[in-house]
Amino acid sequence: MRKMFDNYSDTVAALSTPPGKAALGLIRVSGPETFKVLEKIFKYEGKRPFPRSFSSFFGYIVEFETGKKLDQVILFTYEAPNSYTGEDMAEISLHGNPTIIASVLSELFNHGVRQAEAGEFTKRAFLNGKMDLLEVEALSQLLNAPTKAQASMALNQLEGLPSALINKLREKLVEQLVQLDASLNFPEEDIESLDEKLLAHALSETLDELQLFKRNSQNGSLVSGGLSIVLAGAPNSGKSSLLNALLNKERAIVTDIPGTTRDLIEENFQIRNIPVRLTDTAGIRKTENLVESIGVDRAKAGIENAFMILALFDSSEPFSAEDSDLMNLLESFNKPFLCLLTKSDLPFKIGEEPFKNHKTIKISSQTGHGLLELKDTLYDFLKEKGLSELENMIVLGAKQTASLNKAVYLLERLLESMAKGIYQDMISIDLEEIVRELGKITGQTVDFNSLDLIFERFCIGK
Amino acid sequence: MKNSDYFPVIVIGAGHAGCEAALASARLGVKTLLVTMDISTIALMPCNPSIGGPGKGHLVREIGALGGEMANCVDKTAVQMKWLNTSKGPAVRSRRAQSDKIMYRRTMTNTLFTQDNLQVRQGHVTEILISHGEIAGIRLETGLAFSCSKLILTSGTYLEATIVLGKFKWPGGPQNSRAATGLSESLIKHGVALRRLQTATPPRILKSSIDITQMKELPGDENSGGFLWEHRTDNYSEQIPCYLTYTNEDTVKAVKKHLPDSPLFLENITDEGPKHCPSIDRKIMKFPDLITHQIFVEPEGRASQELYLQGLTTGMPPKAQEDILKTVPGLQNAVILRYGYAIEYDAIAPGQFRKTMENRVIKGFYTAGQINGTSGYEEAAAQGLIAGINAVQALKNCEPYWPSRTSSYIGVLVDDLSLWDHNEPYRITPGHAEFRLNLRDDSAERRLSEEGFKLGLLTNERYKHIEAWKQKLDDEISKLENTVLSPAKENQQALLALGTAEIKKPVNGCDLLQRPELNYEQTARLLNFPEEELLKDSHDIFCLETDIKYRGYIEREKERMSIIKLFETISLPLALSETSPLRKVLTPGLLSAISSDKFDDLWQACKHLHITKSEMTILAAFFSRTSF
Repeated sequence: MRKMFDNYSDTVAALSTPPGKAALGLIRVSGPETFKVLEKIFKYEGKRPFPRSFSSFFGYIVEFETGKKLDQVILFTYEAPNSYTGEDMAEISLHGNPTIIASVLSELFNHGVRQAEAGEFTKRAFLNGKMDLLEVEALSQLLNAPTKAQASMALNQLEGLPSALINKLREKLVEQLVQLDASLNFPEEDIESLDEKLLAHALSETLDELQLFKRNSQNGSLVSGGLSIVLAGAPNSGKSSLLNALLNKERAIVTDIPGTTRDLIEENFQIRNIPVRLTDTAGIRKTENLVESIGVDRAKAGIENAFMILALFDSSEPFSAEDSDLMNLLESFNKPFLCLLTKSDLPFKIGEEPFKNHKTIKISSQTGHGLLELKDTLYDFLKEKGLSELENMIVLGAKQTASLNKAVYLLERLLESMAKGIYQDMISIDLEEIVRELGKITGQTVDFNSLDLIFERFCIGK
Repeated sequence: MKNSDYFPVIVIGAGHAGCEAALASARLGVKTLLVTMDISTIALMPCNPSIGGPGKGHLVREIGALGGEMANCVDKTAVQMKWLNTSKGPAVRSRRAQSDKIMYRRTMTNTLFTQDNLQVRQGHVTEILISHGEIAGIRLETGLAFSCSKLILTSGTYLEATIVLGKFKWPGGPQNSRAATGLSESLIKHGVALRRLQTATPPRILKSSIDITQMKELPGDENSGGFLWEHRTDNYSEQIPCYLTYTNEDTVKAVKKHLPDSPLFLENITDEGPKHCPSIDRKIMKFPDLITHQIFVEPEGRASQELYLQGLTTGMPPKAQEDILKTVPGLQNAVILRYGYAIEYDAIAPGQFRKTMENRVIKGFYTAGQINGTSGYEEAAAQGLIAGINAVQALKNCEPYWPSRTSSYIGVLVDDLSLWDHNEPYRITPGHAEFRLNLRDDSAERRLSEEGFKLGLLTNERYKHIEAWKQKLDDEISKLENTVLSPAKENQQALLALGTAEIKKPVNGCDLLQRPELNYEQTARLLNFPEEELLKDSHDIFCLETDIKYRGYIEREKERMSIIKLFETISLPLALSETSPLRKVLTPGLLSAISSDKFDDLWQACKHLHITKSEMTILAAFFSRTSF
């Protein structure tokens, strides 16, 4: 076995199943840091040693900082050289929801793992002597062809308002960097030297804005943007049917069995010209079923991140304990919500009393009754409250999240070292790296040299 | 030395590039001929009288560390030495010398004439001789011919040079000397592509005609030391000051009034000139709202009656120059001795020469200096040194030599320059060097002297001295590394007394010294180093402290630097076999780049093609094998 990655290899990860909705997803991780990273973010019960070659582990991927469970997974481990790539390798089998996949990838990237490029696992396998030339040849055509995976990478190009915001922040730092570099490179020119207090101030302002941006950004979400509207309601209150009726297609699996929808199902949708993301949640109720309870937790989290909530109540049944729980939950969230009294084609049994303080619309997904009124109401509301929110709404890919996190980390570190006192030549290097990282978020060129801008802005003449 | 018609190495031109090239070649034991159009203008500084500054000063230090001559010559002839950027950090800190132009020329001329293996000859080369696609010799206008194996052309701004002053133009080189005519035609005939570049110089005025009371005096630093390692702690006690004055609204008015007579406006000169050193007319055109521009009044030499006006470069006609001077405080009555002028000259077209300075079309033919599209004496000298070294390496069938861009400004210069394709000359600044925190003024010998010694440019004795000094610092650094301060009560108190935080666990001396608030002496005393063993020399202490304080940064860049270093050692083009596995895994773009003669090494190709991290990893894995 030829082992050549000793000095230079980094660790990479990628989703190996086709992008899109599927029941299960598979993320491959390969490289020398594979197990070190997984030890931090993979938790499992039992005392078996981790990792082990050709072994599987049942557990959770967690967010390292908070310990929050991201998904329940089965993890397969392969030790070098006995793996597909010849390196230490792991395969994470998880739920197919794009949001979950993105958040798990994002967690890996936060720990220094890099997004694998198209065909990289195969290339690594070849270089480690795991494949012969013929096999590679057969694959190479595939690798050089524009693939779906590459096309989907276009999703990582940030567009529109969020991009403008990051660019604005970046421009501000570029301004400081150009000033600093001009004074460092051309000390005898009449260039004001850098005021470190002003720089520190600008840096911490940028840091604040980036952190706000980070909070606003739907961390790790690969799907494109829109105001998030969550459908909430007791199981079988008609959420999936409403979603389908609004989208005019069979999207969610609709059955009479409560709890059928266990993942968040998301759809991009426009109300007139306002982009929204409709999310159908699992019914919120107390449950003993483990898998379903994960879905319920996720639904609650979905409500937390939502811009507004459509609360569904089955009007053909009396107001139930679960309905009451939902009402309490909604009131506790302090988010705008609209009560939809569903199944209006059936006899009205729920009563007006529980909704006397809230706006209600009676609808029927079966007959279409009330759907137009719902759309009009939503449009008016979104137009009034949502547009400014939309501007703050940022959807980042996993790579971009990694760059954003890195920029925040670098800014914090720079501010810290500046407080202790470092030389300006060091500040220049750090600032340059931050500018480069921000450029990666908006997909700008990573080659940045302040010299070009110096000559544009200063009359260098000595 | 007896006259002969064959010299293994011939150098044309005795400017800053030519002098270094000829000296390097001769010092490496090769019989060398240096042909110059005028022996009395060897090592002429036709423009500003200063050498050094950030980037440029680093080059001079490195030239000295690698075994070149410029550092030594500047040190011996400077009329002022000054540190710049001292407060902004050791990586951008640099010396700048005001040179005595006359003494510099004289000193360098003497060095050339006393150098073994080197013959200097006055002559005007009009033709290069080629045999089977390789350089074979030169012919002079007198009809004399010399044959050679390697030719280094350092024609500066002389090649088909035209002087431009307002609407007037005539053939002429710097300071109205003769232009080098005929040679361009010969080069073109043999397939060398040329381009036109321009530059300009300010008027020189009579020292006794200025009023220094209206200007700010700018003295030098006595304790700046010199550029050469041996001169690092030299004291410069008899320095001459420069003066600073400013333009004002009247100056701008005068320039604007005469703008119609500016070559820039008349467009009787190419627009491809140095944007880092614009003429006063260009400044006013580009920044019309800017009123105050600095003008540095600099001595041309200790005994010279001429002053140089840094910042007033122009090719505008004499009347304009007079009108402009009349508006500047202190220069109202200045007597102009030589008018400023613009000059247009032939340079090698971009992409035509390698990092070794060898031409891509003609084997054995090297170019260095301003002809390669740089500006500045320092850049020229550095290229001359590299060209001289490589001519000899090739002559001896040895590997080509270029320093890595991760470890020197010279490396950055040759790497950038061989790919430089902009409509302006290249000037080195720290901004070009991404690893500048590693390329500090204080570390030039640590980075380059071993290479200089291996090449044969450093004498045994010189190298021994430098090595001993390096060893002394290294020993002290390991001593700091291996001595640990425990978190005992008395140590904590001592730390607090020094205004620094307590320690939680035992900490070694290097880690302590990385704290910005601690210096070497304090650290050594905390660690109870015996008094008699402490470093005393302030320069030594500075070097040690700087080395340690920058370690964290160097550590962060280590991985990137090691990949670049590896890729720089892989020369292109690569002859890939039909069955080479690389053909299967690399993109077509990268494949064709590494098999073409467009780049000198793998790093250049990667950088140029914006190669992704994944492909870099593949390449690194592939090339770190012994055979491929």
